[in-house]
Formats: sequence, structure tokens, C-alpha cells
Amino acid sequence: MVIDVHVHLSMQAWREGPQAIEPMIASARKIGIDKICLFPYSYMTKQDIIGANDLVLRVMELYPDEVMGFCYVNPMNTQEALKELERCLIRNSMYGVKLGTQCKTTNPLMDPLMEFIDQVGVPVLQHAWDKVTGNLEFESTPYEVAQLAKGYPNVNIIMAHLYGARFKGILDVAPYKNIYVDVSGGNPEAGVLEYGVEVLGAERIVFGSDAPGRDFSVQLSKVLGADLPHEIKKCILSENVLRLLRRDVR
Amino acid sequence: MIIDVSSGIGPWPFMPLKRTTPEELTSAMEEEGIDLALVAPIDGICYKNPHMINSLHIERLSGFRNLIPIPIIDPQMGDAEKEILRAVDLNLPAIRIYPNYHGYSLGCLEMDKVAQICGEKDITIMIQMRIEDARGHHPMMKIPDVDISEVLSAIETWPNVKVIISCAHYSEVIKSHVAERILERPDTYIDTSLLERVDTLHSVISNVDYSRILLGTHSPFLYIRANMLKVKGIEDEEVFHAITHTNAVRALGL
Repeated sequence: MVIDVHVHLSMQAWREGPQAIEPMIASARKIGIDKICLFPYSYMTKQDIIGANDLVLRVMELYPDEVMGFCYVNPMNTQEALKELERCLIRNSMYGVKLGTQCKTTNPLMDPLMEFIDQVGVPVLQHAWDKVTGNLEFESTPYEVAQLAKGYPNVNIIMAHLYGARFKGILDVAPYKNIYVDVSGGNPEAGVLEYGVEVLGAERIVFGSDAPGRDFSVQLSKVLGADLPHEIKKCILSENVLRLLRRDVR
Repeated sequence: MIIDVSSGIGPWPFMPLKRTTPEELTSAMEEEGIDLALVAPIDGICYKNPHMINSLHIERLSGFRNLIPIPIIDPQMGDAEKEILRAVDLNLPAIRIYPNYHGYSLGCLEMDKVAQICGEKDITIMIQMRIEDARGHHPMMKIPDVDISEVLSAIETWPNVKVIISCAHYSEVIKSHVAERILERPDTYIDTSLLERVDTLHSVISNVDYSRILLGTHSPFLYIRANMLKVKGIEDEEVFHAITHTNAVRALGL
């Protein structure tokens, strides 16, 4: 089984409705991806966030065996975010929470959300990158994700973008066992995954693509093409994320 | 026969890489189903005169019929012409240039001279747009990407030169003015190496005719599997054959 933990709702689906996601689902199926974790892009406005999460819920209904929805919230709008978490995670049984580039992980506004998520027990998928070209204003680095993880040791955080964290970022998060890392995004650079496995351990790495901005097959090649034993690849492709998704995966 | 137009060997100063010897590359090519590769000497990219690697590079590939050495040319170096003519004498099909790593503009007079010689001698110029993701460069050695607009302006002044734009991004080539200019100029190609979007090649082909696309793996920087999976996603046999073989034969005079 292959589970892609990092797939964005396409802007086309946002404009045209949930059926517009079919080509992307077909593309994933074609390369052998069985299930995807789907969520909105992180540059949604306050008003759009609810609509976007609703769209994810509708896609989940259209593809119940293939799509596991994560809700997106903006921690900067605390009360709205908490209401949306309650709606999506409790009333609608979404599988996790996606956090992006609208709030640094070191911002105290993260605390109410993390306390809620800790109670519910779902994973957080947190965008992070370490850019020598300069991060966006509220874009977190792996070091900052590590600070968040330190404060909430019982919340499983999937830090997105192993290839954005690279060597320093991997070392920054290594001490915090509740941080996992997805391989999504960035070029399929040889050697980075192997380094991640060596430092973090294979059990802390999960497969993700960052589609539709990225190609499912290219991102999958990071795992399939890596110089790693087959058993480790299997863990990364599905077994690790299945442990993290505490809700039943159909 | 599947041809990879964009491969390399040699150690890289910023991280240890695999498949950096001819033996390792050949073995990886066999595993992935690639029959022939054009191979640049990546260890020479950061030499103060990159031409210093070319003789060694040609020598180290001399026993490998499936690996064609592609010399690096820096037009600013006084021996650039000599290096190009040696490539011609050895029947090498192309040279590779790295303007951002060597600090010159594609519109400079020295590059005009290189282009003139390549046009006269029918040797293809491969322009390397980037090597690694700029966001992940060594913090003390940030190398900006080559500007696609500069590439398009320069190549229009190079008559009769076959050009391969290597390691372009998807976002660069699907802009209509870029795709149009690539198609308008004869013998102008892009390689697949860093193109990426959901369903990459189907997306690219809707903007750039498949006759101008070549398979490039950008090994050893990328897993060879990445670009092989891209092309294996093409259902149309004619298109697959064009991208993995026919176009390269035409672009490089093989």
C-alpha cells in the first residue's frame, strides 16, 4: 500500500467543484498511490478556509476509499480556528490538521490549538522549510517546529518537506520523537532521504508528494530510487503513517 | 535505445553523491534501462578554469561506449576556442556551459564567439539553468539561477546553433512567450530533468511540442528513477520514442 500524506486541494477544484479533482486522483492511482491525505492550500482567507475545508469533506464523500481529509486552519484567528477544528475533527471526523505559512510555530497563538489537538489525538502536518534565500514572513523553520514539538510531546507533528529541511533541519528535529518528516516537495535529490533515515530512523519518515504542484511519480521516486532496503521503503510508503492516523483507515 | 542527454560524474563539493564514477553510472543506467548518456564533468564546474577537467574527463570515459563526454566551456577563458575545437576533433556532439557558476552574461562578446564557433562546427550548446534548488545552496555560496529571458534573448543572436536548455523549471517553460520562442527558433530543446508538475510531461506537452523535449536525468544530483518514471508515464509510443531517442539524435547529430 502507498499513502501520500501531502496533497493539496487543487485551485481548479476550488473554482470548479470537487469533481475537478478527478484527474489528480487518476494520476495518483496510475502510479500506484492507494490513498491521499488532502487539504486546502495555506493562503486561504478567513472566509475561504471554511469553504475549502467543506470542499475537502465533499471530496472525501466522493472518494471514501482514497481520500483522507485534513482540515486547514489559521492559528492567527484563534477563535475561528478552534471552532473550525471542532467542526472538522469532532463533528466530521477528519484525519488531521494542516498548518502552513500563516503563523510561525513559535507564536503563542499556536497554544490553544495545540492543546485542543492534543485532546483529540490527531496528527498535525506542519509546513516548514530552511531557505538560504529567505523564508516567508510567517514560514517556520525546522528549528522552530522543534520548539513546538518540545512543548507538546504527545502531539504527533509531521513536519513537511524533508528536502526543504535538508541536513541541518533534519538534525534540528532529530531529538524530538514526536516529529515525523514527510518527503514531499523539492527535487528528488539523491542522498537526502538516506541521510534522513540514518539520523531520524526509518520509522519517522512518511511519503508525501506536495501534488498538484509536484508530480506523484517524481516524488515517489525519492523512495523507490533511494539506496534503502525494501522493508524500509515499505515503512515510509505506508506503515509509518498508518500508525499516525489513529482514526480507522478504510 | 534510450538516451539521457543530461548526466554527470565526479565528486561534488557540497555533499557526497553516489553514481559519480563511470562504472557506477553505467551500472545505474543498466538498472534503469538507459542505453546512452551524455556526461558532463561535475567536478570541474567549480574549478577556477573548468577546462582543466576536460582532458581527464575524456580520458576517464574512454573505455565506456555508452557514455559520451561533454566538455565544460567557460567563454571567458582564453583557451575556450581550443577546447571547442578539440571537442570537434573528437567528434563530441556538444559542450555544456554554466553561466551562473562562472559569472558571465550569455550576451557577452566572449559567448558570442563561442556560439559562432559552435554554429560553424555544428556542435550543440547545452545551457545549464541551475544545478541545485537555490533555496538549499550552501549559505556562503548562493548561486542565482540563470534567467530564462536572458537565455531566449541570447540564443536569438546565435544563428545556426543547436541549443538544449537543461534543468529548466516547469514554471519557466510553460509561460506562453517562452514556449512560443522555443518553438519559433529551430533546433531549440529543453530536457525533462527538473520539469515537474502533476502529470509532468502531459502538462508540458500541451505547451511545448514533444519534438523539442529530451530525456535528461540530472544524475547524480537526482535519482535516475525520477525522470524515467516521468517518461514511462507517456502512453503514446511515438511521443515516448521521440522524447527518449529521436529528438536527442536530431539535437545532437548522433
